[in-house]
Amino acid sequence: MFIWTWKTLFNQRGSLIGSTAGIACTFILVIFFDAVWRGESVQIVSYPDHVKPDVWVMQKGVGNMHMAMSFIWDWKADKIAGLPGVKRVTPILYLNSAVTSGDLKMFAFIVGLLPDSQRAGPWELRSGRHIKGPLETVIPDVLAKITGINIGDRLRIADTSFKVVGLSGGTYSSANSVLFVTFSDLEKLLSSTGTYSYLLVDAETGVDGSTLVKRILNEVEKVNALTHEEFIENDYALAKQMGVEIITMMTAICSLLAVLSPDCRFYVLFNGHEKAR
Amino acid sequence: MFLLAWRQFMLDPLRSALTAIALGTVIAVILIIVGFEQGQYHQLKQVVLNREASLIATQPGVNNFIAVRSSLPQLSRMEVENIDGVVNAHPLTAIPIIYSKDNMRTPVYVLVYDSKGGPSTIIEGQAISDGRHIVIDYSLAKKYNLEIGDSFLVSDFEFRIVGLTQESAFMMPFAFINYDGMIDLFLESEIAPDLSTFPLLSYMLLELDPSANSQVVMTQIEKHVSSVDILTAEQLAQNDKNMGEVFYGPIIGLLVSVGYIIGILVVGLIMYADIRGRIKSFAVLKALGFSNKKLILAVFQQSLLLLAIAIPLSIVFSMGLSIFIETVSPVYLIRLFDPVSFTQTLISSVGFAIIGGLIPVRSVLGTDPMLAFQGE
Repeated sequence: MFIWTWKTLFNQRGSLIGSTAGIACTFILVIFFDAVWRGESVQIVSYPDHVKPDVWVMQKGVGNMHMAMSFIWDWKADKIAGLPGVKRVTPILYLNSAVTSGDLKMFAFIVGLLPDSQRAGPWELRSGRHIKGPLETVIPDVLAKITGINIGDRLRIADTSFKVVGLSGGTYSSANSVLFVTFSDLEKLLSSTGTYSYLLVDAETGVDGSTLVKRILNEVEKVNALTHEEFIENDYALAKQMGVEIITMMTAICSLLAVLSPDCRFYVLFNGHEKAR
Repeated sequence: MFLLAWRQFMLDPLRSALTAIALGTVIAVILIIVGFEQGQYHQLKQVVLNREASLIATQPGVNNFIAVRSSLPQLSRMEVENIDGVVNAHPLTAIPIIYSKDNMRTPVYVLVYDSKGGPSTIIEGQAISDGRHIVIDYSLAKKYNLEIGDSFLVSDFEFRIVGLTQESAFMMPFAFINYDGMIDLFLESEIAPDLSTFPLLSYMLLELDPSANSQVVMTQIEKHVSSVDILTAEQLAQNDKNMGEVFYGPIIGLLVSVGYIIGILVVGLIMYADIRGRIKSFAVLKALGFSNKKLILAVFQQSLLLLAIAIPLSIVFSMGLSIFIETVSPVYLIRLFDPVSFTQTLISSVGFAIIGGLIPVRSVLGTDPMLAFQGE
């Protein structure tokens, strides 16, 4: 039976290759759609995934970073820094906003860094240098390549112009690229004082992240604390969830296409064989 | 020649029908992808236009409505209202939140309004009349199985759902509360050190005197009120659409390109397999004296005939699919019949039918008329 099938298929090689290629192509659409979204979801969590503190502390009711807004008192950072088992607390300010350069406009995660907070800054500098002074920014190298913005060029966040001083690696996503500016510049943009967005808490050696989370939640009011793993899981789930329904539906549609088209082609192919015999 | 193509087509109606269905499905998928893209742009524009203001004040340098932070000083409202021609500057505040329930999280864009800028339509329930009331987008209600009268928790602050609307953009459902609700949310939930941290006033929807010239009013505001930028609603909507194009354009463009390649292959491969299956018919035609040129023309006509039948099918399929998508997940709008993109897709379909028709040409040219005289 197998030999007969094999011979029948190979009787018309062109049709076989054509039909197989057709099936492969329809599946490409399914895989491609899914891959685009999954790839984006991974890139969206690139920043929190790389800075990787043991514990993330944020505004109560907030549990992730993507598309979120979080503000917490600055004194809470000092209080957490004084807790046993805490090695270091690195505060950041964070804004999800549009960035403009000439006619180009794109969405970006903007991270405000305090002086000496390189721990929360770009983890891979491809060219240029880190931000040192006011109105300087480090942008993703891919963004520079796509937009043509380079070191020394300027871009705008709201009504403020920033000079590009460095290009970072691994910080680009078409949904949200990560840009770094000084804390004070972002503070001015947000018109906020005495607040941080997120606290990156590093534990002392031998101290478990979940233990630290419990300690922070017990000692500090009106904050949310999550282990790095939980935080990433939330962010990734949200990024994925935003597109998951449409992926599922598009995948279903493309699968339907993948089923229908080969069926037709095989009908045509085998019908062709029937007539040829 | 058309008659020949038609007869070839009708030689095996089931095969031809299946071929047209396959082709129709390919075009339907392309229409859905393009319709999804156009739907996103439409939603982005409508969110601004639904606020029903001819002019909108934003923070200087902020030229968008969605996914940006705009913060205006409280005093700017009075300054803008002092300009001749401005009857009222209706406040509007945008707060992005992450709604969380049953281990699911959804970004929600909460619009806080006072006298204007509320939900454009209430499809169920009623409008807000209390600080604890909230009107949410239908897609959010569907996703979390929420109904009128249910509570809606934001940072432990409990709102009561009083109405459902249909407003979403950028894959985000919208929700509406009033300023009493916003102040109570900030104070009771004690989520921030002080209220000034949050953008208490994001935009102002300007209501102009009917006799006022909007251009003159714009110029006057920009001259006298430095703390705001003024844009027409159309400009702001277009800026959001442009931003959406930057976001969606490359991904959708790539998907559509893959769709077109598959379309070309489907037409080409179906036509190839079809012609291989009817090779004897072509041999008979050649034996009867039909030239290669005429046979190739017949192949093209046949592929265009297929397309003519596939297009109405694709429209029916895509309409069914878009209704299905919008029913299952109402946050997405599939705008199939955007005049420009719909026409573009149909023209491109003709293009890929012609290119696809080229694939089996070699088989037709190589057909030996002697085949017609060979026995079964």
